[in-house]
Amino acid sequence: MFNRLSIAALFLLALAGLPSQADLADGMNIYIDADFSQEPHVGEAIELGLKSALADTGGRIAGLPVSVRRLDHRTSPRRSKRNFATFLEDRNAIAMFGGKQSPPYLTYGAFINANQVPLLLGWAAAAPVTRMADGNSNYIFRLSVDDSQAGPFLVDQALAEGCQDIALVLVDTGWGRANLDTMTAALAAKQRTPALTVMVPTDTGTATARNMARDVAKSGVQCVLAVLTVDTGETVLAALHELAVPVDVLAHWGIVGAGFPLTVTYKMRETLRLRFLQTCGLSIERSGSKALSRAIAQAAKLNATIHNLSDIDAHAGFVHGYDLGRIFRAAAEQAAETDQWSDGPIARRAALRDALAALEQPVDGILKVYHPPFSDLSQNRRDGHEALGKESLCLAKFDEENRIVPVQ
Amino acid sequence: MKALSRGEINTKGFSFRYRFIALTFVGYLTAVGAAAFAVSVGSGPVLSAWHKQTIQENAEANAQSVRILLREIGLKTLSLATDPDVVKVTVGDETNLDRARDRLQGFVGLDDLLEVYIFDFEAHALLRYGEEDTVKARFDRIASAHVARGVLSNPEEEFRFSFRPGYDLTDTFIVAQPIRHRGFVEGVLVAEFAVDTSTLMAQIATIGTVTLATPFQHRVLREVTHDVVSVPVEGGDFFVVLHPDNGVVATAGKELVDRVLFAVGFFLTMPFCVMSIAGLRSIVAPHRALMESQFALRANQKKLSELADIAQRANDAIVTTDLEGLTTWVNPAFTHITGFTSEEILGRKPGDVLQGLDTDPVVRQRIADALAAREPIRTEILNYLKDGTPYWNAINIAPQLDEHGQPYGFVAIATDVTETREAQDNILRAKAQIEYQANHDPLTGLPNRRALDDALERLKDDDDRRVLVRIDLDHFKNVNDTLGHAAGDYVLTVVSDLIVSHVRKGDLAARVGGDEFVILMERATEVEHALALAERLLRKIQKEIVFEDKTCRIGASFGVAATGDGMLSNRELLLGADSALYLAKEQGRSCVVSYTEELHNSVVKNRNIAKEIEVGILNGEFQPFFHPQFDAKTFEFSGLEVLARWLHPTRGVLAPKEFLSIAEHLSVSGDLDASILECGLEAVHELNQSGFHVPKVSFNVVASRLEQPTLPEIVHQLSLQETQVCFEVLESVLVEEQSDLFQNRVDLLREIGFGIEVDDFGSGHASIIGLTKLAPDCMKVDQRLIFPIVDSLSARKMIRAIVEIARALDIKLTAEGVETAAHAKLLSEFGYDTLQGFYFAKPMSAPDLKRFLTNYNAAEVRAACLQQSIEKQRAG
Repeated sequence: MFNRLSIAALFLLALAGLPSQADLADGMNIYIDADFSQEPHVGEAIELGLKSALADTGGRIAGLPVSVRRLDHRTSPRRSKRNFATFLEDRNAIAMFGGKQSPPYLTYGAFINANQVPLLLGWAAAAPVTRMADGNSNYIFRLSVDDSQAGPFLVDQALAEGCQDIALVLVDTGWGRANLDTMTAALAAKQRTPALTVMVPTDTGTATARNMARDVAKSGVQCVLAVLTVDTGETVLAALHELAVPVDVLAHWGIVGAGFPLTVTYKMRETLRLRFLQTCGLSIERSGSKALSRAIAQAAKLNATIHNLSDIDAHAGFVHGYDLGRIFRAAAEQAAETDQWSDGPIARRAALRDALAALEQPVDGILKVYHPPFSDLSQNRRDGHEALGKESLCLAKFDEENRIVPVQ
Repeated sequence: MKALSRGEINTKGFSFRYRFIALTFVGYLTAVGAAAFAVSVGSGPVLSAWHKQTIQENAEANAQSVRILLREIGLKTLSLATDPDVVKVTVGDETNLDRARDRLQGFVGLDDLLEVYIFDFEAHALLRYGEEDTVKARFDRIASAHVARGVLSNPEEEFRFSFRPGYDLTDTFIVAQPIRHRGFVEGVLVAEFAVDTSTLMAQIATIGTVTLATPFQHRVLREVTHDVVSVPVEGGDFFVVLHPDNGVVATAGKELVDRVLFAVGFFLTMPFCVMSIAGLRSIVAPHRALMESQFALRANQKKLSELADIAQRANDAIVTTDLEGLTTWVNPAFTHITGFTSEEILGRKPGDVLQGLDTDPVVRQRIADALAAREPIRTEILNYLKDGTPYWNAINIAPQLDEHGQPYGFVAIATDVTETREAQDNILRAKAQIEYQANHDPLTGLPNRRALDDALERLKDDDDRRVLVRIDLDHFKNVNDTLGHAAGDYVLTVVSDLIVSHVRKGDLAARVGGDEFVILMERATEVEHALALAERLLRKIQKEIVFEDKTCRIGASFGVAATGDGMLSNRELLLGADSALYLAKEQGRSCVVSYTEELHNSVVKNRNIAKEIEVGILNGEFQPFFHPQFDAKTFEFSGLEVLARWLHPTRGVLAPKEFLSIAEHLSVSGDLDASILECGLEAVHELNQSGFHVPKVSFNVVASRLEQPTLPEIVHQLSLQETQVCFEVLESVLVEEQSDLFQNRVDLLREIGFGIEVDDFGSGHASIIGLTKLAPDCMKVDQRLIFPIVDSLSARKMIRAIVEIARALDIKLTAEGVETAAHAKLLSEFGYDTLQGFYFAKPMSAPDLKRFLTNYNAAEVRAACLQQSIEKQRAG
């Protein structure tokens, strides 16, 4: 018994030490760690964007076929961690694309960096995620809204619209609390303090929401800055409308989900002048973007029902996925030129990370031309792993037909 | 073959019947036994299978019960599995475990909860709370992780259970339940409970002993014994092991078999009972009937032999005939009685030989009819002997029946009843004689009162007009008295003959009393015919009758009444005629009076009054009134006359003339008198007691009343020492011949102290002789003599003459009808002793009298009287 086990272990060790090219004989695997159970649209949109970007080169990168594999974390960080373990067990795994949720990466960011898993985030917005390590120890990159920019963006919008008193209403999770910090800081920078801060538990019911709405009404604010999930967003906004609290609502994009506009109707949304954060893809589509047209054309090949960006649920995921896909492709091809690329999966992933942080060629994306998209993080450059800045943020709303449209 | 007696038949029949029943019963027992054997043999495999199935089902039910009990335990930690902090830790949203640990801490120790684990979706233990981390705890964790994996691999399960036996009575149960997040199983909450398994098992209904076994224990147990039945607990990794109590199951099986046997026995009872009853009827009963008929045949033979012997020796003549009535046999007695030999009558009809001229053809026809109808007959008939002598036969003829009940001839038994018939005829003649005498008057030969009553009774419901004439001879008593009873009888026969000679055949003339006759006219007779008959008879009767050279003359009064004019019913006919006769007598006799409507009205009125009187007596409506009397000289109150008054409820106060005659007719005047006397004396007694001295009180009585011996006693009971009690009798007593008894009574009363007064003196036939004979204490002069004295000189003279007579006979005088002061003054001057009249007072009731006497002042009244009298004279 002992001998047989020992032989098997030695055999496995021997396999591990084989040249990397042999590893990639079957091509590279890109994994998507997202919620494919509760709210699959975001993960699917990112996947579609990624596949559309890969399709530009016939699905191959550096001469190797690339396959995209889903890993469902069902919003559970522990499942997400398990997905990373799955990733690590796959020698052909090259990069992980993240989904909508930030908590898995907030919780296990250190684990990810330590295990050198290149993680490309196309949606998760929590500010700390991309800032957990400096230099080449940081494997997490983002092309999405960065809460450290989202908060100040929303504050700026509110102030620009003339709101004197602002209430902050945030979901009581790590994400919400992180936004509380950035928003408070942004207000402080303008010599302001929030007139009211309300933390909303994830299981908040109607009664609690009404109390909160009363508090908001009593505070006499003109604007509410809301950082809420779909569920909490529906509950709180319904309460504000029911009690006819006279406020304008500017929301983070956490409320954007398929069910939201069905619960919070057009009339309610207009009463509350609800607008929410989006990247500027829709504005770009409206202004006519060749990159977008190309991306949509590729997407249409994968899904014949798609003709416009608005045909895609969670279209921001598609735009971000596409742009991230193109950046990944460029980085992978750049890394494939290095010696590390052939030194096994860990070295190959490290080479990819390095290429991402120092991409030599500009990448033509939908939202912009990334030149370069990322740089290594240092004490002075805290946004090095952020591909987008405030200039890429826009406000949007649901129109009467519950489609997301840009706000001029 | 030996003949069987009825007793033997009964015994054998009984024996045969009961042998049959016994045989049937044995068959029944055999059938039940065979069924029992078949059930026992046949039920073996079925029972065995049932046995196994029962145990298996029970074990499965036990396993389900255990699962339910464990689920109840598991529910205790359900809230923990859904706690938000626990869920956050489980899914990784929260890395700080303190809050979740706090939650677990709150549960451990409660309800025997030993330890709680939280496992993640990969069954990695995230959190544990419980006893110290010992070796046992690590083993527990391994076991719990195992259970948690079970939950994760079956995400639909609500709970999963594990069982770990303890060394003592307390075992450990592991209850695992999923921790869900957004509907997905993201972890497992595992709780370990210490449970007293014996208590748990006690809650399970079972048919043996139930234990729990781990898979290992289960394997061992299955290898060791085959008796046990084990069932895995759903959602658990252990088994419920049933050690069946075979005795209980076997008892249940036996009970089932017993019930089947009972049912078989019970349901076989009915067909066997039917068979038994049917057998008794179709086999036993005919057999018994056959035996009985044999017996009957022999008994009949014996009886026939005996009867033949009796017939030969009988004293009565016995004849048998065929259905044609031709004689087939006669007994010796027939020959002896009739004189006909058997040869002379055989082949002939007995009637042709025996019956003769006087034989009643009706009886002959009845006999012929009965024979034709084949029915028995008993009758008496006159036959003739051979020598021609008639004799009476009581004959009893009956058809003779064969064994099928069909007649084949007749038998006649004839008894000579000639002497009996003669005796009966004598009795009938005597009875007729007695009845005639009972219904006829021996003197006149007319039907008597009884015969008339019977005739009237028969009329009761007759609708035809009936007329009845009632005849009463006038002064017939004189004939008897003067010419003797023989003359009287003669007169009665003459009158009787007269009546008989004048009535028609349909009329019924009867003598109903001494000199009373009644003619009930035949139906539909006109009243005029009856009246004419009466007139004719009256004329005939009034003619002279000569008896033994002495002539006498009588008259008769006739009352005629008829029905049909709505006044009288048949029942009242005699009464109506009586009323008419009474009126005829009142009208002077020797006349004919018909019952007219006027008379009818009077009768009806009197009848009504009579009824009212009877009611009035019962109700105490007859009361005494008092008419005060005054001394003629001083005008002082000197006495009272008590008068009967009827306080009629509708007609007011009635005087005696309204009711007295009817009361006498009703024979209640005696009761009335007694009542008035009693009440009057009581009132006087009370007046005396109240201080009003009543010197004298007088009561009106009929002469016969004085003859009653109780009269003094009634008066003495009230002991009126202060008052003299007098009785007023009418003047008529002076002329009518009174009995010696009357005179004795009067003398006696006077001796005792009662006074006797003659009332209404001068109103009738006053007799001076009678007056001297009676010697009354006082005479009350009739008011018709008093009224005119003021204006009439002759009246005054008359009054003075009476005063002279009274003084001559030493009789005091009372004047009635004193209505004016002039009356009072004159009468006083004429020497009258007492005055009574409306001038002083009207008759009044006892209370009014009391008031009157209280207010009466004699001096004032006298003075006023003188004054008024003077004024009257002046005015005149």
